[in-house]
Amino acid sequence: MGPLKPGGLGRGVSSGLQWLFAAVSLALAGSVLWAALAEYRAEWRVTQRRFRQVEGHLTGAANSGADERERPGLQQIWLPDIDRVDRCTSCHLGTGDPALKDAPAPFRPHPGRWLETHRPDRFGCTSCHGGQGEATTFRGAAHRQGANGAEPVASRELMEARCGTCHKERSPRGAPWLVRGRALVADRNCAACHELPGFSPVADVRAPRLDGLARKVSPAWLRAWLKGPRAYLPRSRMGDFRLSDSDVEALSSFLTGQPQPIALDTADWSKADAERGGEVFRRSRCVTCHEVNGRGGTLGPALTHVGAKTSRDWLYSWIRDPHRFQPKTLMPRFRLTDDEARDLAAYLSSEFGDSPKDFHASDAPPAASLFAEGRRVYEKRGCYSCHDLEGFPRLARIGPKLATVGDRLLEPAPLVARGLAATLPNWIYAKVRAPDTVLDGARMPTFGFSETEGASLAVALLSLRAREMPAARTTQDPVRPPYEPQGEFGALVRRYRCLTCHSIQGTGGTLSTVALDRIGSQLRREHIEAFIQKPYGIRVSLQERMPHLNVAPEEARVLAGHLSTVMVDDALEAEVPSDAATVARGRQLFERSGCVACHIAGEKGGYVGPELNGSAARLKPGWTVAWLMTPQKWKPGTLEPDCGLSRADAEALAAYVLSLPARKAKGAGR
Amino acid sequence: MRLGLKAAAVAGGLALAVGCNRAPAAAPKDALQLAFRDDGLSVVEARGHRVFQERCATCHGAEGRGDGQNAYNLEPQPPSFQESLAKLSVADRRRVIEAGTAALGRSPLCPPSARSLTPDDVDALLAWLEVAARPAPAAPEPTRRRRVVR
Repeated sequence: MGPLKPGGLGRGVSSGLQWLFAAVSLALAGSVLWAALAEYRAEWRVTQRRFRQVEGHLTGAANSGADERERPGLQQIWLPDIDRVDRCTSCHLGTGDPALKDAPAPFRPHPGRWLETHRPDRFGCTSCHGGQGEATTFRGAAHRQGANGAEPVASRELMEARCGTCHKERSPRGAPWLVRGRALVADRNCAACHELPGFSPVADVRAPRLDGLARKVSPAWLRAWLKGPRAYLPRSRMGDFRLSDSDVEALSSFLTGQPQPIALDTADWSKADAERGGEVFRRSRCVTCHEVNGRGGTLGPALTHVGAKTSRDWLYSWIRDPHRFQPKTLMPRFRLTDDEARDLAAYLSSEFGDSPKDFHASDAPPAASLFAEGRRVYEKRGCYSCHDLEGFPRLARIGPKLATVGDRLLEPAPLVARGLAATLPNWIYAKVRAPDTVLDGARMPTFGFSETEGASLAVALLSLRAREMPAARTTQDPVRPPYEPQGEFGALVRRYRCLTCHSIQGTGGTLSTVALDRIGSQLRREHIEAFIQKPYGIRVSLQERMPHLNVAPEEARVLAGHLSTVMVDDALEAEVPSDAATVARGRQLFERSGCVACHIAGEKGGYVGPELNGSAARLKPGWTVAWLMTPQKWKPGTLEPDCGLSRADAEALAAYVLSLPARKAKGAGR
Repeated sequence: MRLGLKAAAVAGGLALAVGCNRAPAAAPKDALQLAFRDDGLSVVEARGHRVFQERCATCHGAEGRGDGQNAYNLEPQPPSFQESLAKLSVADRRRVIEAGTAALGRSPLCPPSARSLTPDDVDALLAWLEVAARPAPAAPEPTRRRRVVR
């Protein structure tokens, strides 16, 4: 106490100052100490000390010497060209060390071989994983959730959205959600309303032209459809626009008031035989594209209630020539006689004539006075984006640009109000599934996406970011000009819509697993010609079979001729020896390789690959050898194993396969 | 008095229980993450499962129970992994994947995949086989905390 008790004036004041000074000094000393301690106990330092213990424990005492990793210190990967500072490796210390594969969470080596193709010194960590790379704490790096909208570390699935920012091709490998999402964006024609990089709008392929609607459907059907399309078609591609009754009324007036440019054909319905029509329906394999009672393809609309929708005359006219109504439709023009078309229409009308449950509306003709109001609704809701209508201009895209939707500023209130996590991925997911729930006055229709579809779309959309890698580090599909078949062949390809299912030079559909690019070197001309006229199931387990188009013999000759002379690969043209010794060796190889697991040969075999009996009538020998040697090269992803056969072995195997005789009863007659 | 105490205890317990029940319900729901249907698999295991479903499930069944659509055509039929896989060492599993069952002197019905799969695919397949070999349930219980950064 002595020094603190000097005499003299201002004693009280001076003493107070001294106390204050002492307190400040103490506080300063304390805060310096605290800072030092805090630095010593910084999360990343504690983690690094723990790493030392773990490493010593796992790699043994031999490694305890003072190597340069003794004090790793704060690590960072600085990538000025892509504007990243990633300090993740300050704690994730074992990423490159396979010896630590049994270490606890932050110290394990990076799984897989991704780091070989995505070197951390080029891409950092957050390019793929997201999160806050500059942070040095677990919470700061946003491992679980980001504070104030900071982007958190991506989950396994959301990481695929990050793959997609650089991998711009339609189907990047190893990213199933992204691939599904991008396929859905293309299939549902999102680009008709939204600007989406990499996707272009497709009109007039699936959405019907709306001219002549009054002769196609009844006012009752139109009203009920506009009110809720999924009540009629559970998998309707058109969304539910949540139209008010007055909008439905106005739109019905506008649509039914359109001119009827195409006259319908009529048939003598008294002669129609629905039973014979049923035979045509089954023989033609309509179910390859059209679903009926829950089974069948999805390229065309389900036919389960088609009789309740359209008149017999319209069905008859459409079946006779769909291209007259819808020039770019995916549906082929089957070669049916007028009687067959009439019977088929009668069958569809009677067999599928029931109206769906809860699909009712007034059948009164809409008031013509609402025509102008209907036009306004048509325009306001962007119907022109998908549908064509004579004289109606294709206006600007109605939806917002989505080129940077992955960086959209989040409006959390609607999500919070619904008890949902306030994150952008969640918002996009909710928006695509139920647009009006997270955005007041949303004009986007409700498409009825399932949870899986919604999640896939969210991943695909989140891959559209403003901040991008330099172009040299991104990948995309090669740009190929669309293939346009020409001449007589081209006319037939268009008539029978071969490219709805098959593809040539990357143009066309994917329903058929057989690209036609080199089909002339794969298959014998006689087989192609016969198969086109009378297709049958070559692979037993495959549900989608080529429809029976009733191609005329001379047309089949033209098609087969072009395919066999133009769609060829000279490198595949070769003969194989067929002497008994080679065939016998081939048989040994055949048995040793377990080919019967998937192929029927003789009486036995699996149902995965094509039956091999009588394949000499189908397959060309040079192709068979090439296929057996490198199947994945010709058809990526095929289940046919690549056994690494030498040319001699492949030739022997091909010789044996091609020597198998056709079975008597089945096969050709189907 | 004792009755009062009991009642208080019950009420307190109830309040606690209600409180506990409420707490998770009030947490915001990550609807998207739920839609992903967390299968509890790591990135590598999930990739392995995909490879398996693409290339193996035709015979072995989607979850490796030996019930694929083509299984009944085979003699011998593919076994259920839950019962059989434990008998096979990891090195032997790799040999079967890469060189087929013939490499172990068994029937040749399971083909070699070394040339059809990338080394990563094979590693991933082996990782998923560890999961498939576990006795049912094949996948870990979904309540387990998700491993975000593996």
